[in-house]
Amino acid sequence: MVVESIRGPQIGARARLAYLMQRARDLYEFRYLVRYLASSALQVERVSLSFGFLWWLLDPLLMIALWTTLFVVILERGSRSSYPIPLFLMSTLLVWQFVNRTTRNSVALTHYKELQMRPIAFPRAVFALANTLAESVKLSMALAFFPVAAVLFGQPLSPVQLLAVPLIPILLTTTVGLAWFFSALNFVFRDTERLIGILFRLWMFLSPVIYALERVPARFRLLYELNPLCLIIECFREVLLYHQIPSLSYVGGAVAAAVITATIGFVFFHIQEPRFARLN
Amino acid sequence: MESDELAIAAHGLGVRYDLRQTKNRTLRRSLAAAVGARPGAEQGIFWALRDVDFVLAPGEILGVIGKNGSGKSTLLQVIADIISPDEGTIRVVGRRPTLLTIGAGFERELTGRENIRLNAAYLGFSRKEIERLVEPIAEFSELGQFLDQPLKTYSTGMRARLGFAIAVHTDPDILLLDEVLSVGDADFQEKSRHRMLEMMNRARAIVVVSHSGEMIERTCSKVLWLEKGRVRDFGDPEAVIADYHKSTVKLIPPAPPAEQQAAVARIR
Repeated sequence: MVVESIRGPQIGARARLAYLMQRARDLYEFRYLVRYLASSALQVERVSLSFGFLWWLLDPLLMIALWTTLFVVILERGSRSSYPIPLFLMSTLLVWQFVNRTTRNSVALTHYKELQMRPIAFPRAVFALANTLAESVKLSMALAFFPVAAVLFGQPLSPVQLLAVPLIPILLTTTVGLAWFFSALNFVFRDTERLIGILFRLWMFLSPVIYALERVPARFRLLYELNPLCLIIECFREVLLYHQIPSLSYVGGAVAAAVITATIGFVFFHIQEPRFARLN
Repeated sequence: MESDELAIAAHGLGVRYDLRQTKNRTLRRSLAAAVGARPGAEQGIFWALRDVDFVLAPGEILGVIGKNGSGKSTLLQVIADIISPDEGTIRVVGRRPTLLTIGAGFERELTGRENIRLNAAYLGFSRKEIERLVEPIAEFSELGQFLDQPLKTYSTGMRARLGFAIAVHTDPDILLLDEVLSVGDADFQEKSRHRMLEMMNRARAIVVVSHSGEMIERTCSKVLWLEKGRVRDFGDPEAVIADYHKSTVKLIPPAPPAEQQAAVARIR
């Protein structure tokens, strides 16, 4: 079969749309690369560290221990909560850490690999996608530990907690959108890689990670929920900690945020991508 | 022109580097630009390629010549779909136009065999195609049991062999070469040359960039001479290369005296 491609500047909305559709098809065509990159990244991490894949569990647990110390010892907040503080934090910090680490790693990885792989033509969007998939394996492992932690803290288990599984694809979609967006922004503003650290620290305090959504004053709630991570984080807390099926408006909102974030990320990435090879 | 009569066609091709965009990438510069500060010497647009027209039929080998910075490598990157044109169009008939490179994207923690898979995946091969390619590449590289060792244990020569073995097994329809490559000892080079010729015979079309006029004249059926991003001449190798030599010969400094050459030869 003869394959023919005609390329030129994309002028007009129809040409841009056709270009974006082509990029989506290219990404599908390179699905084996995405899978291979994700599995080899996990393998490299596993063999290059003394504790190997145990870090996938140790890392979030150490962070939860740190935040628990801050809450219980320094801020003396432990006694007021009806749930053990480590469990309260774990139900959302795991999710937050996944988004934070995936996005920041994708930004650095896409830039480094673009320079390294410049002579080869393939969709650069594979790096953020593969990184998100690799990180999702670590997230799944950490989330699977949640029931164990709950039992250790004397909390009951519930089948509702299994609803965390269908929430993962929604979280993945939002995260890959953010990873694409910030990875492309890093080519436009080279300082993105530095600023993103501060931005994500601030973003965490503006998301219901270390406090529940109900604590946000009602007059700010609508504005607050525009944060694409707000509802998905709260959904994870509801199923894992409260054993409650999230309301349709929460799930619907989280899905809408995921679709919008992924679309914006994909479009922005691919509008910028032709410039990558001309920048350093 | 019908697809079966064509391999590559460039029409009014232009690639632009916006120096303001390439420089204004830090926060300080972006803020300065936003408040209207004069970017000074950074202002301006640089055309790496402009008004480039040529047509290459199937079975042809195009040699691209020109001084450093004339746009040769940019043209290869446009054909390989690494850079998009800002002006005009590029029409490529053939699957997977590939710029042949050695060892880009190797992972030092993965084994040689895993790196073969990874590299082939970067080149767009499917899982089935990769499984078919692994053994011939492994055999060609002559790395034996080292193929199951991590790449970090390889010498530079071994890495080059592996990279070359992958490169010469890619069999693209449109083969793009930035200088002809060769690695390894005499035997490996000879084997590589044969394999490269086989690959060139199978390719629908080849574009080769080289500084060697002699090599271009010997192998190519058409020559494109680029100067400051524009086509200075396009046509039969003999005539274009002769003109190219005439224009560059005056730039070559006179040969050093005989006794100086003899002294250099002794040192070597």
